[in-house]
Amino acid sequence: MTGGAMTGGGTTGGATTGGAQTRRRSPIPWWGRLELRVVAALVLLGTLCVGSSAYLVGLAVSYFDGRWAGALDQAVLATDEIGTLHDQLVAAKISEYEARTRASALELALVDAVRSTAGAAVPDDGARLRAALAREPDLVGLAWVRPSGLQAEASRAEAFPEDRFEWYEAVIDLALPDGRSAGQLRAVYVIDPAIDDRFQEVGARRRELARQQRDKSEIQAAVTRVFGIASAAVLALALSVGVWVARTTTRKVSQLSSVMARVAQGDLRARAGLRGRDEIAQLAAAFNRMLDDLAHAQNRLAYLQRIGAWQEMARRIAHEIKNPLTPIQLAVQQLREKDPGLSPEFSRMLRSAVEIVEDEVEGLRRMVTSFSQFAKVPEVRAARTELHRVLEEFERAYGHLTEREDDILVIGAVDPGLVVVADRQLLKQVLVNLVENAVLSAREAARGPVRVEVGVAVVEPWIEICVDDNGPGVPVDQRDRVFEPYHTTRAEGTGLGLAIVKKIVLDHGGEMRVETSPLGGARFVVSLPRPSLAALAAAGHA
Amino acid sequence: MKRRRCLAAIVALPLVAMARPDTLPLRRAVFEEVGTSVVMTLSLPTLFRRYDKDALESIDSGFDTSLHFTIKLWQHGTRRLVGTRELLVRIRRDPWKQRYVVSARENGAWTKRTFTERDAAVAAAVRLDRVEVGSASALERGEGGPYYFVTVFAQRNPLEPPADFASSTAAAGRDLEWFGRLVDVLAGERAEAEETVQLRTNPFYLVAR
Repeated sequence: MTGGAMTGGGTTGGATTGGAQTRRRSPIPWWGRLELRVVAALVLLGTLCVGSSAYLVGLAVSYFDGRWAGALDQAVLATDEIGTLHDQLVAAKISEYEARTRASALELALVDAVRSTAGAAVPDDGARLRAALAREPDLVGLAWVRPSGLQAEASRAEAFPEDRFEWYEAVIDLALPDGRSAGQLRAVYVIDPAIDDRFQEVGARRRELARQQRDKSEIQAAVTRVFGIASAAVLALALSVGVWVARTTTRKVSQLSSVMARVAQGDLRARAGLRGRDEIAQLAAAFNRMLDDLAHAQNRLAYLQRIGAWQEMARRIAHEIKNPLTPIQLAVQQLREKDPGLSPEFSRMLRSAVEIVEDEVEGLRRMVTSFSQFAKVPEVRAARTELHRVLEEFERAYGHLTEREDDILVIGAVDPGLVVVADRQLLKQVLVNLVENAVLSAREAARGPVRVEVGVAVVEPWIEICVDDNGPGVPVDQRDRVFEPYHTTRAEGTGLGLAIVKKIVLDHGGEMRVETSPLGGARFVVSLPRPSLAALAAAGHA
Repeated sequence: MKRRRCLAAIVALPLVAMARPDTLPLRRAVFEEVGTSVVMTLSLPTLFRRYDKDALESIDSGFDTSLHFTIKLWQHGTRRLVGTRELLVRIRRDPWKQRYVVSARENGAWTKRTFTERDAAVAAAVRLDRVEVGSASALERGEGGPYYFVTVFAQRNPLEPPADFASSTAAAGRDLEWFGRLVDVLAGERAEAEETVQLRTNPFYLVAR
């Protein structure tokens, strides 16, 4: 139903007229549209959020960059200090080597001097050097050149090959205590390779630090670019989603507005779209319900107006026709009585004419009676009415249904507690009309014995009285018109019985409809509102 | 479609030209045939510029300064690579002996030279002195060609590729890994060395015997 309403021109700002879709111009200026305002607000909010985030991230990056740069500078300074320390270490080691060489030289010279003073034999120089070499693990070799040119040496160069180890050579002139020269001592030491290895590792670290200092600006720029790209992507995504949400929302509002405009122009069939489960969809649903109720009330009012017009006409016709019927009937009766009987043929013709006139007068009288009944449907005198009592009274009065034994009327069991606020007599008239209509319809269809069933069911918020028959039923296309006055599907019907029924039901605030019965014929359903306790208390007993 | 191909060709032409070894800057070198080898003498003074104080101070600090030479022998007029050699030279100040040491490693063996002056040591370090560039037997002889030339790619203190930030932060989370990769990509191409020199030599030929 909703979809049908929407395809009938309920789209946003558009209406379909004769198949050609024309754009409906919105009365709201572009700068005043909700969609634009929502999007603008989202853009502003998104830009503010991303902008402030970018600013904070920029501050954070600058802060850590400053700390990082400071740490790098400190590290570079530390490596420079290590270079100085390394130089000092080397100088200290050199001093150590020279001191050790000097000590060795003094030892050699002293031994020479002591033995010379004592007149003892001087031991072999080579043996003395080898002994000294054995004491010093980092000594590669010792060479002693005496002033006489005699040379002795001890070496373990094979243990420390020069292509793999760095050597340091210390040369000391030997001097005896009396000042004479004792020659020259040359000592070669192996430099601990760990010293240089560690120092070169520091050099590698320093180069890495220098590289990081060089790359710092590029990395900072890259981080800024990454953040810019990510921020732009997030902003674009947020804007897309925002635009989508804004458009969806405002489209619903526009649709609702369009439907309201159509309703204002009198098109009560228009309905708003019900997509989504948000507040606007709920509003649209409520609006649609209101339109449904309005249409229902309008139909009800129109029907009652039509019935009222028909009742007035029926009353006038009945009045106009009823008055001349008695004089006509009396006149023809006099004609029959005053027949002198002179001519048998004339008398026969006269009797025939009088019978015809009396039959027609009788027919007209019945019609006038129906018209009168229709025109004088009494006003409802509503009171608390127990349904089972109404049905029992109806069964007592009309339980025979017809003169035929095989025609059956079944009254279903009714909960004694079921009560309505209604006019008991009018309710019985409703049942009478419906059952009579069922019997006559079934009989006209000549489907055998007539079966009519009356039952009551509770279908909140209604109490439904159903009258089923096994007659021919009511075609679907006739179901709306069957309650119209003077519309009948029966050959001898006046078309007033069902109209009276519906009028009474509507006067009770109920509804009337016709369906297909499980018995094969029609099911007339009288829906009466189930009264609240307050309504029952106010109504009192019938 | 045709226009696109033409455009792509125009854009790609300089790149292709740059990739050709015979488009590098030309530097005159001396080639000699010594025994079975062809040796080259070439100086690359731009590896250490006079005004590059940091580089010179780095030598004086005692830290090693490495020079990596990649020497490729090409046949001129073609793109045929005849041979490739790697040469590593180190220069440093020796604090023990107060001198400058230039060490060179070729074919796995180190040779060492010492200098009292830094400038002399630097000049020796950047000079490829009678460096073998190929075997004479691998080259054809004759004045009429073919001709050969050498390209040299020299780097001063080549930098180790930076540690893969993404892999080092993988444990910290996928988002940080992704961020690190993106930063590395956007940071662009970073220097491979403190200084690089790339050149080609004049063509030469082997005299016919």
